[in-house]
Amino acid sequence: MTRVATDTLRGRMGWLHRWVGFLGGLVILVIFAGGTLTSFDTEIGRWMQPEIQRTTRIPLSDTLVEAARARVETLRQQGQNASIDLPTERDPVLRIRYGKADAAVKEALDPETGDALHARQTVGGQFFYDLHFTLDLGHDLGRQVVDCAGIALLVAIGSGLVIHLRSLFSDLLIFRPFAARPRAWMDLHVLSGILVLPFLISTAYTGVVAHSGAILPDLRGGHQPPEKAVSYDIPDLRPILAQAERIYGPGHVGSLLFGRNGVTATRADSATFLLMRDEADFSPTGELRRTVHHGDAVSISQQAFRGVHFARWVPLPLRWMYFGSGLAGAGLMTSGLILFLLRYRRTKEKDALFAVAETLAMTVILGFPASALFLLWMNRLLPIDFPMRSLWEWRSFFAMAVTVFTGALIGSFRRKSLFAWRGFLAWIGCLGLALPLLDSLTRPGWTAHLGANVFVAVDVVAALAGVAALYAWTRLPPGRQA
Amino acid sequence: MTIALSILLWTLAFLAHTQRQPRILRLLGQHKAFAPGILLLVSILLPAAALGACLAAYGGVGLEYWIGTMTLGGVIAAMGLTVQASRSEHPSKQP
Repeated sequence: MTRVATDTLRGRMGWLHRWVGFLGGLVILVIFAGGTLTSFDTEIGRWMQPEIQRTTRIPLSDTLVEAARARVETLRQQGQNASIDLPTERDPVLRIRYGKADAAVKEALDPETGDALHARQTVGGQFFYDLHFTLDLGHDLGRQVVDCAGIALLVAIGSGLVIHLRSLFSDLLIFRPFAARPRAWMDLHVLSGILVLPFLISTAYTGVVAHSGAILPDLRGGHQPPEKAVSYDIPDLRPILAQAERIYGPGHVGSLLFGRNGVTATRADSATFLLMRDEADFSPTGELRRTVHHGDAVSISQQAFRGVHFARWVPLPLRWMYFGSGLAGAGLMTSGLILFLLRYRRTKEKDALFAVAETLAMTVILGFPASALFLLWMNRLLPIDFPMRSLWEWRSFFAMAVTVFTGALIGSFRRKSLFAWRGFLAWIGCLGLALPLLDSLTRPGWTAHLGANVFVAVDVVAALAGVAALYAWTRLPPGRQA
Repeated sequence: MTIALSILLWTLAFLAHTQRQPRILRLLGQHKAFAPGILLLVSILLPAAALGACLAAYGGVGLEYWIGTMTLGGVIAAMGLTVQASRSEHPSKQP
C-alpha cells in the first residue's frame, strides 16, 4: 500500500524536492541572500565608507579628470594595472581601481578638487557580490558550484510546482501563522514561493545561463593572442571622455581602462537594460581607433539575460522590488529548510545525521545574517588605518560564520539546539537593532544627513532584521523545538 | 504613481480571487462566494490593466514592474486575509 501511495509523480517529486531542496538549499540560501544584498552593493559600499558623504553626482571637472590621470600614471609606474570608474547616480565619486580582481583597491577622489578622499579601505558591498558569484571559493570552482546550485534551484522549483500544482490556485494566499508550526511554515513556504515564482525562475535561469561557461566547455576556439604592448604615457583624458560621451550619451561612460596599447572607454552597465559591455578603443595619443558593439542575436540574448540578472539598469523603486523579492525568496528557502527538520525531528532526532543537518541549516539560516551584520559592525569598529583592514573585515565575516557553526554543532549534538537557535536569534536582534546607534556614533557629521540616504536605508533594514529576529525569538519560547 | 496603481490592482485581483475559493471562504467564516462570475472577471481583468499601465509607463521593462508589484500586491492581500481569518477564528478579537 505504501508503495502504491508514494509511487506517483507527486510522490517522486516530493522526494526530489525534499532532498534537492535541503542539500541544495544549504548553498542556495547563502547565494540568494548574498544576491539580495548585492541589489544594493554600491549603497552598502557607501555605508562602509562614511568618510564619503557626497550624495549627488556633479559634472566631471577638468581638475578631477587631470587628477585621476595623474594618479593612474603614478600607479602604472609602480607596476599596478589601474583603471578609472566614473561617477554614477548610485556612486557619485570617481574611483581609481587597482590591485587584484578579487581584492581590488578603489580610491575615491573628491569630485570638486580631485584630492584623494582617504576613505577607509573596506571589502565594501563587493564582498556580497563575490559571495553571491563564487561563494568565495575562487573564480573557477566558485562559479561551477554556484552554477550547479542554480540548476538545483530550478529542479527544486520544478518539483515544488508539481507537488503543489493541485492546490496552487485554491490555496493561493492562505497563511495561518497561528496554526500548528508545520502548517504555518508550509503556508509561508508555499505563499512566498508563489509570490516570487516569476522572480525566482527568472533570476535562477538567467544566472545559470549568464555563467553557463563555468560548467559548459567553451567551443568558440582558442584565445586571441595578446596585443603587442606599447609603452605610452596616459594622454589627456578629457577629449577621450568627450568622444566616448558622444558615442554612448552623456553620463553613460562607465570606465576607462588602460591596456597594453591604448585606452578603452566602456559603456556604463547602468546605461541600458541590455548589459552590452560596448567599448571604444583609443590610441595612446587619444585618437579613436574603433568601437566594439556586440549586436548579433546571440550577444543580445546574453545581454538581456545579464540585464535581468545583474539589474544594473534598474531605477530605485524597481531595485527595492528586487531586494524585497530576494528577501521573500530567502524566506522560501529558510522555511523549506525548517520544514525538512520538522519532518525528521520526531523520528530521527537522536541520529547523528539529523544533528549534522540541523547544524548546517542553523549555520546558513542564522549564520548569514549574523555574519553580515557583524561585518558591518567590524567595518565601523576597526580603526580607519588598521593594517590589512579589508582582510580583517573579510575574516570577521567568516569568524562569525564559524562561531555560529560551532554553537550550532554543540547545541545539535548535545540535543540543546533550541538553546542555540534562541541564542543566535537574540544575537542577530542585538546586532541589527544597535546598528543605527553604532552608525550615529561612528559616522562623521551624521546629523547633517538625516534625510533619505544610503546610511539611513542600511540602518533601517538592519534594525528591521533585528526586529524580525527578536520576533522569531519570542515565537520560540524555551522548552519548544524549532 | 503607476507602481502604486499596479500594486492596488494586483491586491484587488488577489482578493477577488480568494473570495472565489471555498477553502479560503471557510477560513474567513463565510459560506458562499458573492457573484463568482464577476469576481473571476475582476481577477483576470485587473492584472491585465496593471500590465497595461506598467507597459504604458515604462515600456518593455514595465514587465519587471508588473512582476514586482504582483509580489507586493500578493503580500498585502495575504496580510489582509491573515488578519481577517484570525479574527473570524477568534470572535473575541473582533472590535
